[in-house]
Amino acid sequence: MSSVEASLSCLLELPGVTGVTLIDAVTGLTYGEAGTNGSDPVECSRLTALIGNGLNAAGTQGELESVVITGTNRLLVVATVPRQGDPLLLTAVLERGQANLALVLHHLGLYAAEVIA
Amino acid sequence: MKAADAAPRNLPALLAALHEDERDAAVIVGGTPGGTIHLRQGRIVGVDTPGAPSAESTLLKSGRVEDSAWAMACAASGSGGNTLRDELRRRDLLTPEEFEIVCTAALFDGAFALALGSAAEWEVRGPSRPVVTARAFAPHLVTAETTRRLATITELWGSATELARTRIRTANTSPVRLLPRHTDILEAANGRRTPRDIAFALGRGTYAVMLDLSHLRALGLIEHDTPPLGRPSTAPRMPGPRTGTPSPAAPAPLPKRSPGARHPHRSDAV
Repeated sequence: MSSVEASLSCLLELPGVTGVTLIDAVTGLTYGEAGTNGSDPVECSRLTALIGNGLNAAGTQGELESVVITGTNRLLVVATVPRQGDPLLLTAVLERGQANLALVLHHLGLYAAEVIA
Repeated sequence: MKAADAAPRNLPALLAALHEDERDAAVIVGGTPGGTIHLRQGRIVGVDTPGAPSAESTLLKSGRVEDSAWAMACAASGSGGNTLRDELRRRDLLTPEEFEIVCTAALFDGAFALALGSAAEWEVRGPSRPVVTARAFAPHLVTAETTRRLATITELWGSATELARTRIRTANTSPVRLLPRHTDILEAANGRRTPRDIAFALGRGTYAVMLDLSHLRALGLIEHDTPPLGRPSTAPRMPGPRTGTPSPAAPAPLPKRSPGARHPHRSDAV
């Protein structure tokens, strides 16, 4: 198991988290994933680029922190990880009935701060 | 006979055969830009090519790691079984995850840059340890990602090979709000640089720069000339005629034959 995947596995211990992926926000390349029900990396990078560019044009540069897509049973959380160099995306798939969204967002932020940035 | 011993029809077939045989090897790819693919037990651990910045180049040029700190970590790695990754972590320069991310990005970017050339010639040699490696990938994963990248650039710009040869300059347009990385590209696009040159100047990947250039072209913020048709010249550079250089010396008169004189270069034993 790679270093990235080993550290991502820790996020699976959060209640309701079934899959976590670390993606390059520009190229859509997957750097590591853990669990099941992973998200499509290229679509995630396209989605955040679309939203980020739109927000930027509207004058809110660099303010996109996360995107949450709510489904009937699941949530997809896409958190941006700014760093020196091209940004990353940290995505998590959650079981809606079991997960605490605020707790997951908090831990995604901690992971980004401690491991990546 | 092992799989790699049969003549493969192309580079992906060769890499698949080397993967099947679990070979340690360095595949030297000819052409422009050309490069070297490093394999360990049949899996790709690194791609060195002048067409894309290496992990080291990315880290140093972007300012993520200082030159001197990097040099000291490289010098210290290897002693006592410490890898470069361990040394970077010990010196609090990069976490293992960051190191792996940068190496992985450089590997796939190098493979993409190699695919921009014809890659019609290759040679398999013994393993040569690349300086910076982290994770190994099965060749089919690298090939699939490279194919996706080529298709994406073709969709957004046109021929990826043509874009690689194109020199980009900033258009004279009214200022718009841009992301910092897009602004950096506009500042680096001086009409003399190709996407690869901009990538090296900014410490970013060639593919990432190409994607951003496609976005900036859609906004009308960059201009470019049509690159010359065909592949770049690989002819050896010969010095052309220069002005101001002295004219060649007048030829010396030919020696005259004198009847009866001895010719030292001929054998007398006829």
